Amino acid sequence: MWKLDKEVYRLNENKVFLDHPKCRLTVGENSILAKVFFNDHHVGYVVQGYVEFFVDTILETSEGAVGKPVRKTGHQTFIYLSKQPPEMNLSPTGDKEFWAKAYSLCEKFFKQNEYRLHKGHIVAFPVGDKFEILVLKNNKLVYISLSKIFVSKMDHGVLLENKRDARRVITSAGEKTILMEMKF
Amino acid sequence: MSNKDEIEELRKEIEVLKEKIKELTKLHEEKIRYIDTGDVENTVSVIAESIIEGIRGEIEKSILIGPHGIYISRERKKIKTADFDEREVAKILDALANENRLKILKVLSTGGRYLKELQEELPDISAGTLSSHLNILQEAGLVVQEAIRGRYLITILGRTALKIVNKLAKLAKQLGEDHVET
Repeated sequence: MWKLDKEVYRLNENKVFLDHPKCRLTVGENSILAKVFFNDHHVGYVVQGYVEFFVDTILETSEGAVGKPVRKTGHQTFIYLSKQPPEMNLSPTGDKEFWAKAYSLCEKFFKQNEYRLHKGHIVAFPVGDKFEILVLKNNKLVYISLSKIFVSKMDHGVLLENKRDARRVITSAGEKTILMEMKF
Repeated sequence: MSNKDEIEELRKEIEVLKEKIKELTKLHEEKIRYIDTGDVENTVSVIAESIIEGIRGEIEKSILIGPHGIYISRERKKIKTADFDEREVAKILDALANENRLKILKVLSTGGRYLKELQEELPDISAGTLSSHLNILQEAGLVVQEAIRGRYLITILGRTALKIVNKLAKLAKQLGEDHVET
């Protein structure tokens, strides 16, 4: 069962949440955040502030690269979950408006997604009523957005993209590449 | 002619056809035997015969006997109307129509490169110009840059375009040799 800490904090430093060859997430100083608990364990934060989020959803195949990186920079709100969330230099701030927003976001997220404690990292950006989600665990990466699904593990990967008039699926495993396009 | 006579005539025709089938089967078996015995001369003649038969068949197919005599028909392959977005294609062709950008694509076709590596491999292109060329290649979808590591990678479209350019270059060379003015 999830819970949101009653206190809202201000971040007193720039903080790197994720630093991986395929994705990076940094949060700017003065961002505000609330702690998320799951089964009484501190498992993450709801963050609002200046964010730089990059994911290389590029599949390198024997026929050439396919896909484009995801770049989100600017003022954003997101949920970050991990078994061991980073320790940060925080100071309490009473922002009830943000707390209500964070609670509503968590409610929606945990309703839509079954969460289990694991060693990886989960980042979820709200997009309308849904979420764009990144799951990172060791060298495995999954990114799900409204227009694409990207799965990567070492030199294996799958990219599913919705184009204007077709759905494209590319799978790559070393030298083997399969590209399928289904017209709507 | 009565029905009985008609049936009799058909029986005769069937007998004639049976005989023909037998003859053809025998001939076919003989041809196969020639090949089996390893008789080179016969084998060659059998193959030559089949080729000639094939050619004859094709010629016969193309000669039609119509009510006004014989005429030769030649099937023309229908040329499909080109179906593409001119603006999109022009963007790709614009990106390709530059010596330095083709050099960059050639290097990237052997693997992803950081900007510094490209500068080292292409010393004739200045750093500023190189970045500008890479931007044009990216806009045309021929190259993509990683957000984290920053490497430049050739895309499937880029690799395909390079293959087409390669074929075009070969063809241009051949045609150029054929049309050398003396």
